[in-house]
This record gives sequence, C-alpha cells and structure tokens, in this order.
Amino acid sequence: MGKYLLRRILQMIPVVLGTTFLVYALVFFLPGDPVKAMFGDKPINEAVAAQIRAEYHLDQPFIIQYFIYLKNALTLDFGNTFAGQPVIDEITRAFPVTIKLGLMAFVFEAIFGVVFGIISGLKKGKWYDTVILIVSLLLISVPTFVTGFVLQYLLGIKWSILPVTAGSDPTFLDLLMPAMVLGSVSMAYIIRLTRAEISSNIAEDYVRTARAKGMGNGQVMLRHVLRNSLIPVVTYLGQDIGALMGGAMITEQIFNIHGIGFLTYQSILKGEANLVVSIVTLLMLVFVVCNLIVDMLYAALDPRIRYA
Amino acid sequence: MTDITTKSDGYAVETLPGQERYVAPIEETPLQSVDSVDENAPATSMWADAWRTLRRNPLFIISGLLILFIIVVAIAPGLFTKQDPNACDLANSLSPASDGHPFGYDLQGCDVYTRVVYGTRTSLSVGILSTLLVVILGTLIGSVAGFFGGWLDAVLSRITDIFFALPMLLGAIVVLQMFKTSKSIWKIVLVLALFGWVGVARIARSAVMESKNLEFNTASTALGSTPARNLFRHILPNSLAPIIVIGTTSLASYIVAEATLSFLGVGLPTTTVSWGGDISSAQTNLQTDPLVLFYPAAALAITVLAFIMMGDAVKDALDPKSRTA
Amino acid sequence: MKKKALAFAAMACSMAMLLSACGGSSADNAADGTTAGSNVITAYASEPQNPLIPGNTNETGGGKPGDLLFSRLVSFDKDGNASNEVAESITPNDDATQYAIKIKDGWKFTDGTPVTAESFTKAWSYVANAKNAQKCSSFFSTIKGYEDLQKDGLKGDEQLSGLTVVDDHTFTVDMNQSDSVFPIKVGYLAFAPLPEAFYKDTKAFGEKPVSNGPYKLEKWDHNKELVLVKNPDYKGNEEVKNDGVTFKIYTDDTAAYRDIQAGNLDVMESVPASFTKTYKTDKKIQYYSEAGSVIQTFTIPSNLEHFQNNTEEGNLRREAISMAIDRQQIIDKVLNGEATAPTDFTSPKTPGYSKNLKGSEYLKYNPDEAKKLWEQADAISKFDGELTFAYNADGGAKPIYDAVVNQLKNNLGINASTNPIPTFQEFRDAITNRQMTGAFRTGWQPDYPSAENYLWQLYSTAAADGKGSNDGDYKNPEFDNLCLQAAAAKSTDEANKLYQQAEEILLKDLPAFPLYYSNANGVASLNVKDGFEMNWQNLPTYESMTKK
Repeated sequence: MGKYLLRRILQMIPVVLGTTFLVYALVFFLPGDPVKAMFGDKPINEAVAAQIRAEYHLDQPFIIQYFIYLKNALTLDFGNTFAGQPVIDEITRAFPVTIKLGLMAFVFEAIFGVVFGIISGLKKGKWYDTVILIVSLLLISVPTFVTGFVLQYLLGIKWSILPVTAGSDPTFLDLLMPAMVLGSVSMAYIIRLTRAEISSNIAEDYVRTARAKGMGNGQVMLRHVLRNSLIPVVTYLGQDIGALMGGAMITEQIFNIHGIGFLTYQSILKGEANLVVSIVTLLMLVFVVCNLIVDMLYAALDPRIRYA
Repeated sequence: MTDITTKSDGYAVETLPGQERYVAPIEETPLQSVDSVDENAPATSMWADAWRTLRRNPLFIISGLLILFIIVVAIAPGLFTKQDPNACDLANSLSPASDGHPFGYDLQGCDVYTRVVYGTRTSLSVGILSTLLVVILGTLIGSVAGFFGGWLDAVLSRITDIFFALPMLLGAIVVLQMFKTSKSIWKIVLVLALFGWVGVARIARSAVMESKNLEFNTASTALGSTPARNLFRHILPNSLAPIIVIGTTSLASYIVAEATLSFLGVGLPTTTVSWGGDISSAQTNLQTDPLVLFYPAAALAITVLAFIMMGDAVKDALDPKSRTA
Repeated sequence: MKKKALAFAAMACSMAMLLSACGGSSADNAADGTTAGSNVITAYASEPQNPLIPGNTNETGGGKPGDLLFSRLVSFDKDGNASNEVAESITPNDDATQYAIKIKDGWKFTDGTPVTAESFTKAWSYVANAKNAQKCSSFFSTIKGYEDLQKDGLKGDEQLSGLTVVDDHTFTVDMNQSDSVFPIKVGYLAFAPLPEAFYKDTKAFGEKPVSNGPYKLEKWDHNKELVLVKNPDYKGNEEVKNDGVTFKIYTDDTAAYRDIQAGNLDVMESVPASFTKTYKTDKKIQYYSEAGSVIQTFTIPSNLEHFQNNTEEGNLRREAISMAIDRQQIIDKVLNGEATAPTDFTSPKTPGYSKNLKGSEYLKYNPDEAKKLWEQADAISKFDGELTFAYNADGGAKPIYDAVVNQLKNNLGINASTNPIPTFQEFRDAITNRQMTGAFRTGWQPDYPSAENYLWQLYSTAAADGKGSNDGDYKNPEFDNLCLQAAAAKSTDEANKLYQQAEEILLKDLPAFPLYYSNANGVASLNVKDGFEMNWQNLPTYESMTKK
C-alpha cells in the first residue's frame, strides 16, 4: 500500500507539467488581446501597451512565457494579476469560501441523494418512487440559474427564511441556500445512481443467501446491499467533490460569493494566464488527491479490489 | 413384474414398484419446463434476451413511443406548425396565448409553440450525439483502465484528472474558435464530448473493477477466454447499469450546456432554434413571464423523462437480477 | 455564465471612465449628532481592475471610489456643470492654446502635505510618461511635450515640457493645438493632483492612496469592500452629508438588487434586466430613473462594401437601415422603457444637446421610406449578402440586437443576423484590428460633460485608423473642420453651436447609428432617507445621501 501511494504521488509530476502546459497554451490561444482590452473602447496608447506587455512578458513567444511562469512557480512565485495583485493572494482569498460551500453542497447531495436513492430503489414502482423521479428530473432539466433565482425570491425575499446572498465572510446560514442550489443537480444524479444500484443488488444471490441464513432485513441492507451498491456512488461523489472545489461559476455569481468559480470565470474573460494556470493546476492536484482517496475507499468497500 | 407405461412421446419409462408414491409423474411437474433443454434452439445472446424482456415491459413501450414521437417532431417539424420559428414581430412581445398561438409569444415576439417544435431537432441531436459520444469514449477509456490496471490505468486516469480540472468555458472558447465558420452542430457535440467523457470514464472504471473480480470472469478465463473477450463479452455488459443511468441522466445537461455555449457566443449561429437557447433568453423575464421559460423547459423535461425511462428499462433488461416480477 | 452574470461582466468590462458628482454649494460639512457607522452608505461596486492611482484608473470599479477620494481643479454638479474646485481660476489665451492656472490656498492631502502647483504638474507628467504605463496617458496628448514622453529609453520622471510652475499656487499649460474644452477636461480623474508620498512608493499608494477629496480610504479589503470615511480636512464644493461610503464588491447585479430589497445594501446605479419590469412598483426599494448620458450606437465600417460612406449607394443604405429600426418599440418592449429615443449623437445630459437638428428625421421610424431608399440603393448595385450585427456576448446586448435584426428583416426584407462574440476582449480586438465584416455594437460613456468628448473622440479623422476611438474609420474634412472651429471657440455656447452643425453632418452620413440613450436608473434601499439621485454620469450622488 505504501509503495502504491508513493507511485501515485510520483505520477503527479508529469500530470502537473502536462496540465500547466495545456492550460497555458489554451489561455495563450484565447482570441483577443488582454492588453488592448484594458483600454476598453478608449484610444490605445501603444507606448503604454508595450510597457504593460513587457511587464507581463506578453511580448515573448509562447514557449518562453510558459517557461518563465514555470521557473517562477518553482520558487512559489505565481506572478501578478493585471490588477497588480499577487496571484497567490487572489487564490488564498477565494479558496476558503469555495471549500466551505463545496463541502456543504457535498454533504447535502450525499446525504439526501443516497437516502432518497435507497428509498426509491427499495420500493421501485411505488408512488414515492415516482415522486422522487419527477423531482429529480425537474432538478436536472431546470438550469441552475432558474433554481437559484426562484429559491432566492421565495426563501430570501418573500418568506425571509434564509439570507438572500452570501457576501464576504459568509456564515453557515449564509451558505445554506447556495449549497442547496449547487448540490441539487448532483443530488438528482446520485438518487438515480443509488436507486439503480440498490435495485440491482437487492436481487443478488448473496442477499437471498443472507436472508435464508436468517439475517434481519436491516442487517442485510447495511452489511451487504448498501456496501455493494455504493462503489459507483462513491466514484461519482469522489469526482463531484473535486468539481465542487473548482467552484461554481453560476451559483457563486447569483449569491455574490467571491470564490474560485467566479475568479476563474473573470480571469478567463480577461485572459489572465498566470491566474488561470495556477487555479487549474491547484484544482488538478485536488482531483488527484480526491481520486486517490476514492481508490482507497474502493479497497475498503470491496475486499476483492486490491492495490499492489 | 414391471409394467411398462408408454408415454405420448414414445419414450418408455420404467417405474419400479413403490416409486410412484414418491415422485410425481414428470408431466405433472412444473420443473419440467425448467429442466428441459431445447438443444435445437439457436443460442440466444444477452442482447436477444434483453430484447425479449424489453418487448414486454410497459415502461419500454411508453418511453419508446414517446421517443419515437419526439424524433418525428425533430425530423419533420413542418408537420406540427405552419409558421417560421424565426419570423418574429416585436409588436407581439410577450403577448399571451391566442388562437393559433397556444403558447403565446416570447420577448422578441416569436411564437413560442413554433420555437418549441423547431427547437426539438437541435436539442435532441445535440443531446443524443453528445451522450453517445461521451458514453462510447468514456466507457472505452474507463473500462480499459479499470480492466487492465497497471501503467495503462495510471496513464489514462491521470489524463482524466487533467481533463477534469480544465474549465469547460476556457476549452470551449478555444476549440470553438477553430470552427468559427462552421454552422454544424458537430462542433458543439465535440466540445461537450471532450469535456464530458471523463465523468463516464471514472464510473466505467469503477464498475469494471468491481465486476472484474466476480466469479463469472474467473469461470470464463478458466474456459480459455481471452482477457479482451472477457472484457467485452462479460464484464462490460455486467457493468453497464451505472453507465446507462449516468448517460441518460446527462442527456439533459448536454441540451442545457448547448444553450450556455450558444449564449456565450461560442455555440451555434443565433438563427438556430434550440430549447436551451430559448430557456436562456427567457430567464430575464422569469419573474413576470414564467410561461415563456416553462414551455421549452417542459419539452426538455419530457424528453429527458422518456430517455431516463428507456434507460431504466434497458438496464433492467440487461441485468436479469433486477427484473421486477 | 448566464445573462444576469453577463450583465455584470459587461459592467466590469465597460472601461468607461467616470467622474464624481460634485454639486451643491460649499457649506458647513460637519455632520454631527450621529453615532459612527449609523450614517454610512453601503454602495454596489465591482473590484477595481487597477491599483487606486487616478491616472491608471479607466473603469468603473476603480473610478467610483477614485472620484470620491480625489478632488481636481474643477468639479461637476449633478447635471454636469463645471465649477472651480481646487482651481482659483483657469484662464485661456486668445486661441485656447495656453492656460494659466491658479490654485486655491489651504488645500491639504490626507497626510498633511499641502496641494501645490507641483502636485498637479508632476502628477500629469507622471501619467503622460509612457514609461509609467498609466492607462489614461493619452488624455494628456494635447499638452506640449507629450510626444517626447512616448519614446523608448525613458526613466519615468521626465516632465511634460508644456507645464511650467510659476509659483507654489500657479502654473501654465502650453497646448499643441487649440483646446477650448481643456478647462472641463481637467475635471477628469486622471488630472488629479498627487502628493510626494506617491513617488516614494507607488505600490503602497495604489493600495491605500493619500488623497485630497471629500473622502479618504480607510481600508481596501480585496474582493470584499472598500471603506471610505469622510475627510474632515476637505474644503471643496461638495457637501458631505454622511459619515462614509462603503463600496461592497458584488459578483452580480442581480445579487445586489436582492440585497437592496432585503435592506443589506443601500444603493446601486443600475437595474438588472430581470427587474426592469417590476422595480418601479417594488415596495421594498426606492428608485430613480431619468434620461442619462450614455449613448448606445452601432457602427457600420465606413469602407464596408455596399455601405461606403462617400457613395450614393452607401448613404441610401445607411439611411434606410436607420429608418427601418423602430427605436421606440425596442425601448418599450426590450428595455421596458428604461431608455430614451435618440435625436442626436451626444446625450440629453450633455451641454448643447438638441432635439431639432437637421437630419434627425433619419433617426425616426419610417419603414415605407426605408424600403424605398433601400430599393433605390439596390438599383445602383444589388446587395444580396448578409448584414451581420456583432456584439460582445458577455455584455447582455443579445435581446437588443435580436430585435434590431428582426426589424431589419421584417421592414427591409434583407438577410440579417446577429454575430455574438464571446468576450469583450475578443470583440475589441476584432474592432481595433479592423476585422469586422458587418455592423458592430458601439456606445459611449462620456469622460467629461462636453459634446467634444462624444464627437471628436469618435468621428474625427484624427481618431481614425486606430489612433482613437473612431472604430468605423469615418473621415469627413467638413466635420473635422467644424469640430476644430468649436475647439477654438471663445464661449461654450458658440462651441456648442458649431458642434451641433458638425452633428448635422453625422446625421447625414450616419457613420454610426444612434439606438438609444440609456437611462440613468438606480435603486436604493428603504434605509436611505434622502439625497438619492443620479448624476450626469449615471452614478448616485453618494455625498448627499443620508440614512434613517
């Protein structure tokens, strides 16, 4: 196991290099000129533009720009944004709130998704299975901005149950509504997934065997059905927690949350290569770690899966 | 001292004294149908089996008819409306339903009913094609990684990690820029697939890893089957359930994603009518005119429902264990 | 990624410069009797895109706090009328090529140092000097010596040769050419004075400026808020009626509107598209809406085939297109009345605005005439292509251009379509590289309240070919001439008359097509007691607002 872990960690090196290169290239090939855009629709002073280009090495060929970024990144200097803020400050400001929001959404979708999924899977075809199907279908078909807009109006303005927006330094309560909106679509997926797995596993031979041996219904569910049904669900949750850490552009905007999603969106629009590359690389590392944990969980959930 | 009973099919069965008290005549045994093997029948594949089950599943029939109807609308929208979806008059902006315009008008004064009808083709093709491509690509990569493990798994999984971290907005702008002049929906499908396959790949990998260790695989290997044959004949079909669920459920998200991309100006030409595009446009007036958003969203929801039902039916058919009696 | 979000992105991206509202008489500005914090206005804002250095601030995120922090030579009242603030007098010579500027005694920066003539001259030279990479440097291009400061190999401390310090309170400005608008221009934020502390550490200054305006910066919590408190040493034209203004950074204007409804935010200077239909009847807020200073237009490049500006066919087509658009219908249906139909090329808030210019009938809806003119043009040379309308998709302009295209298709029977371009950046790049093959969205938010700012910057030959904001490369010597005459005019009235004549040429040639004047609209929470109005730049009059 230790050797396996070490190998996974070593694998991160080429992945980080690959990611930074790919993303840097993508930002470089974004159409438009970030320096020209700084002048808006006002006249561009070419002498000033040249100064700015030189400051951000934008006058260099792509590959040189990339290596300058990489070289500085090795000394933990990720460069500055066009507004003159260190990239590292921008990220450390935005990340905590995204983590908070992401974890809340994760807990929300994991708990409600699995619980409703189990209910639905055990009682296939019953009326509440149908109700759960329709509700999850609605959540999938209605875009997030609509869900957010409606909830904001109802819970926030009309009934004043929850804070309307999160703002800076949000509390648990401030983030409750955004977390629900953010987790709702994934929750619908998890319901569907859990339902499918439960209904398939419940008919397995081992369940019959366990029952025949006189095991109680709850015991069978907990010890056998659930454990066997959760592998794809855990996979989905594992990749989703990574996605949640990437921030949610739409949800963060609707609820005025200055997190990673909004930061990424803004920096893509402005062509801020340093910022985009640093965020994506960080996220990629988060994914790798999440996947590692998920792979470890497989082994725990299914004794037949072993890592050498 | 033996009496010979001649059976109708001509076989002679010898019954020893006293035996008739313990065993019912075979023609009275319900197990007969189970035990009898029709050796002359052609071998049925898993798929043929599934099809037999499907034909009798009402869920499949209903969803199949629904999908058939949606496909007809997509192919021949002219059968359902005589109007041009792009003929809009601002004077009718947000007017309520009237004769010949059952769903009323949108902000630009276009007939909502006509746009819902004409939007079917774009939305359905983007949804189906993206889903297919994503499922094929993701299943292939994920199952190969999960089945063979080792360095192949490591490489494929790390590529998956990179794609997961990439913001779709960034990739979409750059990729679609390359096909700027193209008006075909394939460029959208390509982008959605490029950023969608990773999710399915992770699911497929985990499902294959789970099935790989089941007894039938060991049995099949013992019978001399090659690993590749094992993967495609046995393991993959047994791992399809979660993939089908994710696939049919994501159909909706691809239809919505098309709208987002078009909205960002990187999608289809603005003359292309789609449900997603109309949902996006309608959101500004959500509070005052929710119906304009409701109709295309309802069309989307019904389509997704049909595909989810179809997916459930197919999944059940492929997985005999979960068949409801 | 969605429309509401995009509307925000548009604001952050619209790099229009903004000035402060400076109105009212100078009066006793002691605001007592309230406990600290209770009379602080919280205002909607976006994160400044640059350090808070006046000459480097060219977008609303930095412009709004910048305007409240720095006092310039002149200030503008709510309606855009200029009056001296730090300046005692600004005296031009006969042809407006030289100005003698006297400043008032006793002005202080927040670090206690006095505001002197050098505070201005050194600051202006710093901004003009290309080495310092200040985004507003071209505002100084009419001052003598500007060209010398655009060369390679500068150190950054070279001075504009046109600026001469006479004594602590007097300096003179030599111009390259007549510039009668200069006394108004100096009210623009980039012309603010800077203290010595600035040159010692520009980086620290950009984070926490030392200023001389009605407010001073208490702290800037990035992506969160900028806290401005009343400056007790301020002695300008403004009557500050609150204890401070806290700019709260928002990701989205819809979120801000929701916070105003809930009483968590006091004021914002826009109404999100989702609420334009309902905000006037919304009992949870108070609102303001009047014709404003922003003009929205679209431009067809002057050399676009079939639409060339100096050909008969081109003129006919331009007139036809303009008359085929029912602007009032677009305003009523798409903008829910939050705009005013245009009659000229400036705005109702601009001195010299007129409703009765010759040729303003081309801005009126007349589909029959339009159809006729278009057919005449087709008789000269048939147009069977597609006319595209480009706009940046991150700016919420989609419904407007959908409507324009539909009207042109219906009224002229032509093939027209919209051409959304994903980002503002890419959109501007295509324009400045002259890659546009059809019409494209343009618009103007004024830097200072003068017709010159709307006309010379946008349609003069000098501003064409990438040297200014004449994005359609319109060139008409007759128009240039009238503008130059206006620039040398003795009085503002005389200048405005000449500008009006210049506009009549534009109305004939239609290098760009005015669509509407955006309304200055905004909303405030019910916590705001009084003083909530919008100024000539479509911004709230922050200084005069008080809370309950």
